[in-house]
Amino acid sequence: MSPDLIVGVVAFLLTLMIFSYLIGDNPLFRVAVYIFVGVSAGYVAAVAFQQVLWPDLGYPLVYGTASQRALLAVPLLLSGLLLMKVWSPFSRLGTPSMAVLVGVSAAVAIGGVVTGTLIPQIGATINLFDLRASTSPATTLLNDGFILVGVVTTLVYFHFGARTTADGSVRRLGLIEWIAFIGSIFLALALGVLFAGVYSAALTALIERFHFFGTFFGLG
Amino acid sequence: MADMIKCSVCGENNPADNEFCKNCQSRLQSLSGPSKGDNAPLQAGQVPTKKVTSEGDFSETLADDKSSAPSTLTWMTPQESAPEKDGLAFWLAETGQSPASFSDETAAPVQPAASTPEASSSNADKSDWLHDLQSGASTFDETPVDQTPISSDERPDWLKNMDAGAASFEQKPVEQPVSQSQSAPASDVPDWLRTFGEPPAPSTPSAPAAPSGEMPQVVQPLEPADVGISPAVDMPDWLSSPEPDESEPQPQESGQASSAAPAFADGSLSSGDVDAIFGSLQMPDWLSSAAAPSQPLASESPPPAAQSGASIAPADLPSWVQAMRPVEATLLDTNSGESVDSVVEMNGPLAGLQGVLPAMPGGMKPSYRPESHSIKLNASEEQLAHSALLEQILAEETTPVPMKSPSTILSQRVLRWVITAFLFLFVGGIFFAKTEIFALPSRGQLLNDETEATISVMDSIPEGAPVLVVFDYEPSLAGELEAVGAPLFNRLLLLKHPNLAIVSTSPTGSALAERFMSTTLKGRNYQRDVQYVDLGYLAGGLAGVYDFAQNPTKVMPFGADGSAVWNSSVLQGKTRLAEFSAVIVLTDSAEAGRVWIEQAGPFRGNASFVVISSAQAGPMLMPYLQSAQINGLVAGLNSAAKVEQANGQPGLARRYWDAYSLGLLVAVAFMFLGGLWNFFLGLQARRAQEAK
Repeated sequence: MSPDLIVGVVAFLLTLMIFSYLIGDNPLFRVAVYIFVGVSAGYVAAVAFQQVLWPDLGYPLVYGTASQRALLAVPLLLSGLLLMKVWSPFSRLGTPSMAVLVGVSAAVAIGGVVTGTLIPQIGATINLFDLRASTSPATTLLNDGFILVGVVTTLVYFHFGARTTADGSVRRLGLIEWIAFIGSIFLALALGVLFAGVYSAALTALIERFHFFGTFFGLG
Repeated sequence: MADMIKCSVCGENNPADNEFCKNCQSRLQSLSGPSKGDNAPLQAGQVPTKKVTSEGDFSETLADDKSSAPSTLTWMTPQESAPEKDGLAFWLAETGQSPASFSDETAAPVQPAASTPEASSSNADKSDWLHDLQSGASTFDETPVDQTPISSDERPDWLKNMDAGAASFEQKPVEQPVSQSQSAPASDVPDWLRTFGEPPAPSTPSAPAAPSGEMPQVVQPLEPADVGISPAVDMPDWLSSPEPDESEPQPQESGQASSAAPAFADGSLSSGDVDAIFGSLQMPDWLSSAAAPSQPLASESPPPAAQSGASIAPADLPSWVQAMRPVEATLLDTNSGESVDSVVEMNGPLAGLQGVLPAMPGGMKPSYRPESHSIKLNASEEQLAHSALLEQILAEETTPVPMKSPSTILSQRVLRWVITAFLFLFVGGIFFAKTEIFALPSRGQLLNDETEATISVMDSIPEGAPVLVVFDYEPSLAGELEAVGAPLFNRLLLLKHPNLAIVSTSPTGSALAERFMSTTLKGRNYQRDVQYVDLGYLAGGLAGVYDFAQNPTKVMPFGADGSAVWNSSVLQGKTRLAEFSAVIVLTDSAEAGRVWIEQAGPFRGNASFVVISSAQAGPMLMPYLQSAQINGLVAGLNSAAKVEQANGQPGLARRYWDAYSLGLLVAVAFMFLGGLWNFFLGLQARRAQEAK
């Protein structure tokens, strides 16, 4: 029996076990999920050791120079402290490592969002009305105006500032309410598009499984 | 104000000639002053007249009633009445009045108690004692009253000593024993009888008893002759009628206590005497105020017992007893009726009084039935309706609601099976049928088609240029990403033969990349370490991406297999991200694509940026294409079909396209039918509600 056949049989069985969820939660489905989680964890651990720990930590410590070893003191110390999170009596020792991780990640994320998304997207929305590069200004204005309306109304929808009315109820201004209503339409369209994309992705994955079955059984 | 007298009991100002207080009816004039009528003092040589009281002559009672004589006399013996006398003296001493009231008694020397039993040994002795008592009283009356004052020089020594020792005696009056033998030899009247009613006067406890004939005038006004009450006659019955129970243990007192018994037995304390005593006391307000209304009640309404000739006359009750009348008696409501007021006390010191004590504590009215209150709540119809509604709500809260979930779960499960069956039937059937019913989307059908831009970018990559390929998707969506990315990579590898450097921020990315290159792009026959290298797993998330974009060779110096990939023929000494011709990111999530766009975008230089994404992430990445942050976007099978159209070579997109298109139609059909079903259900429910 060739390895491809074995892999194919295992993949076929696992696929059927996953499909068994259609009749409800059952042991076959759970076994398939446990296998998937276990194999993935083992594979990730192996990859992490092979591609991260050993080349970046183990190899320099063993074969590296003195300066390389000295530079590894800080990450080695932080890694050791992070391991203390496993034992609750010493879990507080891992706080500095977590602080470094969270702080660095937050700083990088915020910087990336501001410089990579917020400012460029605002600029892009403004540049939509640059008619110098447009061959059909009317069409450009129509299209870009629609986009601008969608952006503004969607942002206004998330404006929740309100005032207390005479009857005691707390409501937004009438103009804000109307703009937010238009924004909600754009939001509904966007969520519909996302749902269609999710369904499309799942449908493509299903078809890929059919393709696998056809290939395995020689039907495709 | 000089003609006014302030009542010592209630503090009310009264005219000077008033004998009783107009407010509390307390005696204002001292009994030592001149009395009127029967109360006038006996003059010298005057024979005391016999007074008839309700109980008759006390002497006759003693003489006639042989059966009661022993007990009465026994009670009157000093030995047995000593505790009472001593108790009374002590109680009066505590009030601060005793030094004056019992001046003669306290001044008498102590006699041994052993002599007293002889006085009560026989009836004959008792009769003689009583006889002597009466004769002594007459002798006492013969004492001259009007005497010129004796000057200090003429006073005898004992009187001087008495004056001198008065101050010291007043401080400890009770300490001096009381003796019955203190009686003067000139008079048989006991000295204690003379002391009652006397105003406060200094006493001479250590002075010997002087004969009555030698009694100085300064003392005479204080003599008991002013009382004007026959000791035997005016003794109240309540003092004599109850026979002391000899069986009860009597307190063993000393001789000084037993010597005071005859004085109390005489009952010489009249109402006026007691009023005088209590008038000078610092009585509490409640007691002084309660005394005023009680007196008229006792005097104005004689009890039936007294009218019927009972043994006790209410008028003879000492006023101090009346003063002790419970206050509640005055608080009786006038509406209480005669049922409460008509109660006559038959026993005890309040015997003969009517309506003195309330029938129940607190002045309640036992004769009255409590007011009946209806326990039925007066509620209106609306309130009753609200109450019923509230009860219904509370009952519903506690009533277990039958679970309706089984039918719902069953219907949902059936619906799930039906949808699955339809999908499997239509999608699977048309897939295995290998039909090409649905035509592929042609190029340029949509304005600003992102696929055209992507194809242009791919076509602009130089021949054999290094291209960084990022595999950032999960194995679950590998089927879609492989189908979407295959047409573009086929075109790129076929036309440009680039050298690929593969990296992944997912631990499974290397395996997926190897699968993609070995299976999906099997036709291109790309060899590892020859046309492409695998840099492996990039740890650190977005921070790792940021670091890798800045310095790729330092962050990932080795390949997934540990080889020095940066010096290999594939990369040809490239050390920076900007030295790559293009960066292609395959991702199934908008987050992963956004991380690469945000972190690696500023460092990519002139390198083209193309994103191949799942259909679910395409709409979220479209703005980055329109903002020119990325140069191309291939999202989903629809874009892949366009690329295949551009390639002119059918691939997986074409293979999947009919099943994909039919699956979309089935979904649309199910949504339409489901909406229609819900619409009719709602319409039916509304009609049913309107029918009700």
